[in-house]
Amino acid sequence: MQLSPLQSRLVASVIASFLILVVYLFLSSPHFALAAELNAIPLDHDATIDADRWTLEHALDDESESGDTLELRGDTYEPDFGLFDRSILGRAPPGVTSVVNNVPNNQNIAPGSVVTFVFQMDSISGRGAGEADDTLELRKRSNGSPGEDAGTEEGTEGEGYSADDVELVRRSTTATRTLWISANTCIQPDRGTGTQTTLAPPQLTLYVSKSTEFTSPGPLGDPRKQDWFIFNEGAVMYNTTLTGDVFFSVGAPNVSNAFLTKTYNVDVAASVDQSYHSFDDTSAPNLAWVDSDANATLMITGDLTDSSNEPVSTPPYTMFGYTQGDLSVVGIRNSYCGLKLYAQIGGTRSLLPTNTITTGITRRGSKNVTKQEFYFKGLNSSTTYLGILARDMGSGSNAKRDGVAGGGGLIFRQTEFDTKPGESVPVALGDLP
Amino acid sequence: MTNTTVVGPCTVIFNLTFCDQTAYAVPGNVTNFPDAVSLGTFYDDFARDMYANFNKSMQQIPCETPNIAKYSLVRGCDDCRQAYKDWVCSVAIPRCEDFSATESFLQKRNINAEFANKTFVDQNIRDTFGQMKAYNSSRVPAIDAVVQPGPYKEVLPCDDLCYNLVQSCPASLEFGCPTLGNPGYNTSYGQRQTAGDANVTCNYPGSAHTLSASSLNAVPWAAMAGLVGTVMLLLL
Repeated sequence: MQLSPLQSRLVASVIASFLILVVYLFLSSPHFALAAELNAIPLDHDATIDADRWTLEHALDDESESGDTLELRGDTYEPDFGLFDRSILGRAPPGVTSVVNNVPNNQNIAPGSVVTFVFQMDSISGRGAGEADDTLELRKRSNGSPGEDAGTEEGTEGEGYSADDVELVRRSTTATRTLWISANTCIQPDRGTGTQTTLAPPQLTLYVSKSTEFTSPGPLGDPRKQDWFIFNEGAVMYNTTLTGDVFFSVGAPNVSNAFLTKTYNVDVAASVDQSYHSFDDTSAPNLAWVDSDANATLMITGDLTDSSNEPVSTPPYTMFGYTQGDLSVVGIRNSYCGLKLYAQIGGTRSLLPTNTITTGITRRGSKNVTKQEFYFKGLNSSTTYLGILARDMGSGSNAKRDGVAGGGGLIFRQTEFDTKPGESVPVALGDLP
Repeated sequence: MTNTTVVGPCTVIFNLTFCDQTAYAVPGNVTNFPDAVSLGTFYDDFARDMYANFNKSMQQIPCETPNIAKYSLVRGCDDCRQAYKDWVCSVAIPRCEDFSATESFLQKRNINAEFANKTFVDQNIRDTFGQMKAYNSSRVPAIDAVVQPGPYKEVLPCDDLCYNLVQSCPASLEFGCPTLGNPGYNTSYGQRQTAGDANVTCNYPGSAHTLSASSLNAVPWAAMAGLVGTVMLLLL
């Protein structure tokens, strides 16, 4: 049949398009997304495809009356009540420990393994936590986890919200929050006594995921999706901008058989106020070595307050010490809980008597301002020692540190001091002090 | 079989009542004064007695008077009392170092006595210096008699403590200080350390072994002049 010019142009266009499609299919062999484990799924335009949801719904097909009222979030039950703080009720994914602002979490780590933690952004939202001057607003809850969809449909769905549909969320402030992640090694592998090895126990490593989807940072994780930091003498401090849930983990390396024990114990905390555990190994500590004799030494801190009128009720600092060359403290010199255990002077595992250090408050000095002084006794003569000043953060008793910003302590750079020489004199057995 | 322990002639004392700024190692003896508190009390009582004598003299000085009757317009009686207290606490409570210390600014004291292990100072030293009072006894004889520390070396008080005393107190009390290069200075007073030196070269209230800050290398002036001259010659 004879085609008009317009029709012939149309036919030519259609044939050309068809040819292009054929060429495309032959050359590129496109693979469409294959969900092999699913049963035949009827496409539902209203719901997002959630594999777990459909499996469960399929299983519950007989019991459920209508799929709309079942709010399924996965095969673990996640409680979600509109007016309650998520941190009270929420549960992290299995195998991952949830950490809450300023509350430390203590874990053992076997060599070659990893423990994973998550700091959930919701744990600092909600009434009561965080700043009091944030305003709250009512938002319609969307399908899926709360807070995911910044709903703007207020009022568009009509009147009469039920309690399940709306929730109270914090109006997002313009200021960005910083999340500090810190950890201290409390127990590290033991060299044992009389061993020849001078190896220091290997340090732990902190892995922080860079996105909320990558939930298992670790030594086998994709290096593009995580940052990793080796602990510095038993401690690590890290901060990042808080934009979503942050997954992080602490990994222990393999430990050689030269060590008697191989297990690590780590204290981990996350905070939006300040780093929970901190150390400062660069700036000079606020400590001066006053003088020493053959068996004792005296150290004094700088001013604790600015004026002489402020009283200081409890001494804020504590000190640990060790002989230069002593190996028991190597590897945890920046860790407060590690020093409390291993330090030759002041640590609980030490063989020295525990009353070696006495401390007190004094006003000595030109400005009549309070300072803290430390008196070490029972030292060896002609010996170089290293003293580590540490600050207990937070008020109250030494036992409770939960919930206090910076409660993990602050360790300063070590200070060297020497004892004077002396003469060796016999001591009759009855005269031993 | 007896155990041995190491003792030195020095003991650290602190938290004294009268000389409240004093906190350093002083001549001591673990047999006569087993703990630092009793030794500190001994020194503190002695310094307080010396100060009480001075205070009696100060009662003769008019303090609360109009300007025309004051002994000085820039210093008052309280300045004099404070200066004397700093001086007497540093002189009556000497700062001690072990006899084996080798720094040049230390002064040997009590060299004829025996050490704690019943040995004596080298005979040559005792022959050379043993007759001089500055070497064979402490500045305060009571220390040798009561404390019996044995031979030790003293970190001498800073000379500005004496100068401050002369400057602050009325001339009628007739205080005087030896000056550098004149007799009596080397065995009585020391000089303050230069900035950046971590050693405590002379004793003063509140001294401590502070961490030495990194000091700039002082370029010798001769080298600087030579360098500038060379540069100028090249430019011209």
